[in-house]
Amino acid sequence: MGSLADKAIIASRRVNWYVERACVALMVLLVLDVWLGVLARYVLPFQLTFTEELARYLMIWMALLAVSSGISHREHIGVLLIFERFPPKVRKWLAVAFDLIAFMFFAVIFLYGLGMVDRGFSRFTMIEGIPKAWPFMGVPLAAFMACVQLLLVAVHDFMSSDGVTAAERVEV
Amino acid sequence: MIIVAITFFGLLLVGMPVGFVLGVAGLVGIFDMGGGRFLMMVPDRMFAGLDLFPFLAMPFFILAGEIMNRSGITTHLVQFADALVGWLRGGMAHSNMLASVMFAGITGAATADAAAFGNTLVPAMVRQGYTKPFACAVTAAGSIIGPTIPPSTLMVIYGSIMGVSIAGLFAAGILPGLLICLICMGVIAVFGKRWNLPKSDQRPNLCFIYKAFKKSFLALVLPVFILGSILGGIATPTEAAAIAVFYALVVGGLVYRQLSWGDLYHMLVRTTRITGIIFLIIASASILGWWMTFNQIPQAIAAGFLALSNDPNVIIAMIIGLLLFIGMFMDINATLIILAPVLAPLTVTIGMDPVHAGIMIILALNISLMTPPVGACLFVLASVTKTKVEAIARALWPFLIAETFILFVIAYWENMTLAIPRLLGL
Repeated sequence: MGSLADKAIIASRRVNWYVERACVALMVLLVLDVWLGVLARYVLPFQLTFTEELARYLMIWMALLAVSSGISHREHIGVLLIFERFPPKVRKWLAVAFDLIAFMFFAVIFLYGLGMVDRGFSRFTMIEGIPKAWPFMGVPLAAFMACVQLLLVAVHDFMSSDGVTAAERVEV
Repeated sequence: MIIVAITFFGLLLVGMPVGFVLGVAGLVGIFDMGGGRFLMMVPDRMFAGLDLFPFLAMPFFILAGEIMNRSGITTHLVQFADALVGWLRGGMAHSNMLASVMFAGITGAATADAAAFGNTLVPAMVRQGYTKPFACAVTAAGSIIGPTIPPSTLMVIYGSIMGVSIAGLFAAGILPGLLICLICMGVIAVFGKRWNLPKSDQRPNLCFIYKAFKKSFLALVLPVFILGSILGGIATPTEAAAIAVFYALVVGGLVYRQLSWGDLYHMLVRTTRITGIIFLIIASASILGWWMTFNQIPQAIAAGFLALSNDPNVIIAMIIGLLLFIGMFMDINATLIILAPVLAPLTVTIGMDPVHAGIMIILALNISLMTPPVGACLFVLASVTKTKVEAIARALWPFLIAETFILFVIAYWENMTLAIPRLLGL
């Protein structure tokens, strides 16, 4: 493995280490929040109004952040029937082209997402009336993380001298 | 419009991940409409596409399934199924089908079923004398029962985006799921002798059945509890899914004592990653979906169908044909999100009940999970069991024909699908 590829995959896994933990924390919060909502509805003698809204936004943050985790391990599914019939060199170039196109897509989401967050400060959620900028923030943040991971895995897969991809390189 | 089609099919066919393809095609379409003016819509659409409370049921059902599976529950379910039908010719193949029905009540995804049984049942079947491709074919055929019998992530997605009762869809999925199991068991029984399937020495034994039932009881209670609470109007699908996670944790951690904190962490990571993959497809599809709606493409497709024929029976056949064909090449979540808003209004035009139409669409997509070249279950089984996709596909065709027959029965016989929802007043 070339040294740049080495550095890229180590950086990818390190960034993913934090993202994964953030996603797990959000998922645990999500589970606890919905349990609390169920308890409030059937057991507790008072109503809680925030649980439903909070759950939706936790879910969106968790799922969008996890997109970059899937990129780090190249787990996003595609139709590989034709791709796998190409020679390894063509596959390598195609994979980099996919990463660049996806990078541009997420870069647009990131840039325009910042505008959405900005506008979100003057829009408020239906139930609790908090600025929508907070839940909206998950979109550009996730897009940024996706851009970072796309760059890192693209560098790794392109520079890797042993032909092992980020998807196959489990231990780093 | 042509540039979007070229982008979409071009990138999809050369292997770019589906979630990215949908987003890029939508982005190209929106840019084509008015340069950068409409691009501010893109992150808005992404967020709005995910901002639905019923979607919460998805990560919870995935997590509950992961926990139950890791708790070793699959083994108990298989033992119970084996105790019931293992004595027949092709007993393990029958057990595989029956266990798929039981497992379907715990997990809502066919690939989970295929992976779990591919690891456990396929090697056991091979040891008993079944060929590996046949064992994989039986597992693939049974795996689509998972997302047909509730809970089903596809039903959650369909119900959420089309505004159809998820409880109604859950209730309507029960009979089609059982029918698929029955017809596949029928195929095994009819062809068992010709294929020379192994026959076990064991005889039906009530004591053995009772012991196996006792061991798997806690797993069997979960689907009854999930369905009972949703169909009885006690809990929403999201609440039932959250309680299912709690139940799975208690059963897996305290009763079966198979879970460690490390396992739990890995299951949570796995759940978030699967959710991220599915939700990117949903979010990206809602960008493309917005562009399609803006350009009135669903109406154009519907008009195209109606121009070919006004006969509801022909239109139903065309819808099924289209779904089976598209499902051969595309991920079923993406197909559902893109095509449901196009096809559902068409089914309303020909007088189909929305729940009935939903089940027909979902079942057609489920069947496409096991059709080459892009059947997800085929690929899961091929990779788990190290068998060639072509070999599994060759062994699969009798089941494929049988299940497609059931799909047509369900499509043309409304009462078969709606009997349970009507009985429950849904």
